[in-house]
Amino acid sequence: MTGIEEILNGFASALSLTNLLVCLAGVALGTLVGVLPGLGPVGAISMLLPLTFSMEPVSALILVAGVYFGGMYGGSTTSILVNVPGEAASVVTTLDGYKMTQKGRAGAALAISAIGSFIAGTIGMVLLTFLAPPIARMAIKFGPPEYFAIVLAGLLILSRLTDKSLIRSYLLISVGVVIALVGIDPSSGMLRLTFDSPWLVDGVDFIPIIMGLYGLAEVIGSLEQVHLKPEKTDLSLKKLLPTRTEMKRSTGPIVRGGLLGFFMGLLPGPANILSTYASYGLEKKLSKHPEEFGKGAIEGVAGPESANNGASTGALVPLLSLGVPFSPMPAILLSAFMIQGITPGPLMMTQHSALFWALIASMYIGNVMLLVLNLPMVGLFAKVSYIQPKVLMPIVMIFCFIGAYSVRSSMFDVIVMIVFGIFGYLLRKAKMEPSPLVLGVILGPVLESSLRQSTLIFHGDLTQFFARPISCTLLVIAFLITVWPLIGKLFRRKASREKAS
Amino acid sequence: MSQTVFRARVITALVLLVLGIVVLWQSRDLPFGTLNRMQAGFFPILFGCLMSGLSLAMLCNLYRSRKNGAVTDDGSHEDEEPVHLRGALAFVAIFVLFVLVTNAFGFLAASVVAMAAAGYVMGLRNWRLAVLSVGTAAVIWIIFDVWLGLSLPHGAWL
Repeated sequence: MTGIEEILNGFASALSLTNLLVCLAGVALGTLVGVLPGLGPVGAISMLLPLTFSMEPVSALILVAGVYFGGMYGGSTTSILVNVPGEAASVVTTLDGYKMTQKGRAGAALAISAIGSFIAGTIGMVLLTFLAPPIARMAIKFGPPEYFAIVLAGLLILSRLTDKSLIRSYLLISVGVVIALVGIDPSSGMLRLTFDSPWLVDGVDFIPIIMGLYGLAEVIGSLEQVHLKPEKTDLSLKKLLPTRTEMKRSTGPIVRGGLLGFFMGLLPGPANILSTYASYGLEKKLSKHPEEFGKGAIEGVAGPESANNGASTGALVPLLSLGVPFSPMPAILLSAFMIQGITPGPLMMTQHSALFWALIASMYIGNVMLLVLNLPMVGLFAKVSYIQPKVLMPIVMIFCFIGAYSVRSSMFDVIVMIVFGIFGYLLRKAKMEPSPLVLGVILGPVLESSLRQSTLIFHGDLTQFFARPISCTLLVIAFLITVWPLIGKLFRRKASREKAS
Repeated sequence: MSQTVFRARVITALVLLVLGIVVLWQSRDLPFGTLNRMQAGFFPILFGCLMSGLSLAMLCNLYRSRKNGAVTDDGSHEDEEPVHLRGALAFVAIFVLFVLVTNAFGFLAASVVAMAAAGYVMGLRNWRLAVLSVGTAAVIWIIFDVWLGLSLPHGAWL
């Protein structure tokens, strides 16, 4: 059977009435659960996995795929509407998405998020269909030195996006890494920074930290806006949807974000998160209006949301073609496969080819359903932004408590969230963006483990990082991007002194 | 920068300096290892030093900014949100109250109390406050405990 015939058979299977209904249910449930702060797509899939136990394999995987995409879209909704990221990859969306909401453009932000996710998902699906085997083979060449280089480069480059001051950014990254170190050292089993407290032995999860820094800090700060009444603007579809100018400005970021996200998703590690920051930085560099970023630039929503979806699709390549998940979300999808007695990998395409192509086809269909389902609901979601802060903020507060508790069913996580809520409010007053801290928490463990493994491989000779082409390239780029503005500043100072004298 | 931003940055830098020193103190007994074989204490000590050093650098920069007259309080920062300290402290007290009531009486009771207190602080009164606190708590209980099976805490007394 040719490739085209296999794809067509896959569509035939996915387009059965049962599977269409299952896909719709998955997308709807995924969006609903993903909207709930703290749960996100990982939480959504974990909670809904038991539903698949008694289902046919094709239907079960279609349901999980629907929840996967729906959960991602849901996670960005709260970022845009109430400045509470539904998941780590939606943090960047708060920078401009929430600002758009404050300007009365919540509908446009949500719509662009849905449209961008759809286009990026489609681009990703096409690339997945044709490039899966050769690309997966390349990704295997990444070893600990490459993981370290990509994480360090990511931290150095991405911290520049959020604050003009390198000292403040690096300080917050250090804080994040230190928080990530709390708990048991994975190599030696020794306890670190636990202060003899049993609660800290398992470490500190990043979800309560994010919810505190963004969600609770917003709740505390809302008192300063309680006198504001949200403007009653026209809620007709014409006003809710992006204008022609906004669509034109979003087209490039959506395509670039989708491609960037897809190729980053092939790499191990938290590609979803890194791709959103990378896309934000790229769009800010390319934009004709870079000064608008952080104040409600539509490119700041379109690019990262597309990159997130692209990365999620790219992450499926190593999972489906090699059977190896490179990040938490594909790992949960892997468990869904194993529940059905299927082992993804090179043999899946031969032993379960009908299932493989039905899954691919259902992802195309799920992507369309996401758009069809959520675009008309943009108006409903946008109405949330018109609720007065005195009503909305107590509700957000309780959802934050639930979100933090739901991570590990522990009140300790609620306490962590409260502490970071207070710290987040302090950062707000100091005009310091908290995202470098979040990056440090999430990337800290990968940074440490990859460096320790690399130094073991290199017998302590750090110059060996530059003997490997991928790690060398990444580290040199990171160094140049970090140092270049400082060199520029020195030259400018010298020039102005010469001019003065 | 405004006085508010200046003060907030000073407090942030001081808090993180103290935290950095605490991290170094807590990590003093951990084995550091070598570059060839890093041990459990390598990263905590390295990043504890970074935190402390960068906090000090931030404090130095802030001191220099004030000396150069970059910190102003001349009304040119009117677009900044004012600091509502009393309200912020009220919210912190509500958060603490939520944890205490949850441990004693469970999540549902704590949600009602916290929502009522938060709504009151925000300016809601009478039936609106009652509907918000009881209604939202009930909906949350149904979604998370009943439908999603999250098993919210019932409290030591119930």
